Amino acid sequence: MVSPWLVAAMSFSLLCLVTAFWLKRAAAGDQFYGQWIGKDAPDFALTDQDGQPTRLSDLRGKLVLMTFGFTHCPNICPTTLANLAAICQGLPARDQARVQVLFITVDPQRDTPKALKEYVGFYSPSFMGMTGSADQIAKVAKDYGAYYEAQLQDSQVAGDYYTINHSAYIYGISPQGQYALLYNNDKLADHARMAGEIERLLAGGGE
Amino acid sequence: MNPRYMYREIPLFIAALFISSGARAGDALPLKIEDAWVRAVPPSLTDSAAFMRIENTGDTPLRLTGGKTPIAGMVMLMKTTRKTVQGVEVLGMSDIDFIEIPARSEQLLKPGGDHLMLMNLCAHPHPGDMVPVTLQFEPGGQTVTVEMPARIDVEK
Repeated sequence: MVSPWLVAAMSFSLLCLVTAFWLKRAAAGDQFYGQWIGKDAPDFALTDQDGQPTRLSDLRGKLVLMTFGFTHCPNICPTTLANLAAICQGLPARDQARVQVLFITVDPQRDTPKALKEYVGFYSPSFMGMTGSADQIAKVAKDYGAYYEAQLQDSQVAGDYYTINHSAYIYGISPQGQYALLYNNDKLADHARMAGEIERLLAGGGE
Repeated sequence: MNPRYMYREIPLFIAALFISSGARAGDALPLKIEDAWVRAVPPSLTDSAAFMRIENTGDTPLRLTGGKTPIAGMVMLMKTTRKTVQGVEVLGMSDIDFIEIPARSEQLLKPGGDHLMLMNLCAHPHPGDMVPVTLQFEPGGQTVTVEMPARIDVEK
């Protein structure tokens, strides 16, 4: 027969452990501007803006700021990329080289590597774009909880013109390959805070 | 410069010759248009957008109903849509018939909000270019032409 005292003591210990773990997690998350995720970044293989097969894990050693969009996007994506360019430009030169902005298209039908290169290159020559088959893109989007759907525009517009409704989060992948942080698009407007957080991740914070 | 793009800039240049800078409000329109700008976009894009602050200094509501610009085939009023799908915030656009500026009030057209979409670009505005955009208001169908600088950055 197990002593009730032993059961109570064990339960209490377990409770303490869980609480301590939870507090530690909460503390780590609370200190960040973005939402703390802290899990291994799901890897993927796509085609980059130069037509080269590239994996996310090839970018280890750099802090990757990743976002989903499409080059015909006239509204959200130009804001996202202009903000990311301004944030990166505000970093010390040494750190700029350690940050990689990665734009993954949700419109592989129109977004060839060439179109991506022209598009992301307009904002910064260092930005990368990636495309792939519709299935490959769908898999990556699913792994990161991104959502997109094509929408035909108003009938006034001739032809098969369509836009895409899409989620516009920014995913912060640490240099060690951890999917560390998730940012709502609106958060990019505060360049100084974003820059501060990038510096911290580059310094190994959050690991 | 790529010759293919050169001729595209001509209409913009000619338009700039004829239109002075700043807002030219119609006599009867009690309007102030400030912080207007056009988004400089990559050459691959077919569309751009214009943003501004419109203040109605009069005692009756005004409606922005449309516009035109020499750099685009068509101008449409758009709103940014936000919905939640499976717990994910999804952004999109939807065309609207007008943007109302209540009496003694103002409307801000900004990225991620309402804006004028400049569709089927025939010239791509470069940062620093001045782009004339003519806005149409109701009641009365009066127009106002505003010279808007093109820029990439969202913040000034």
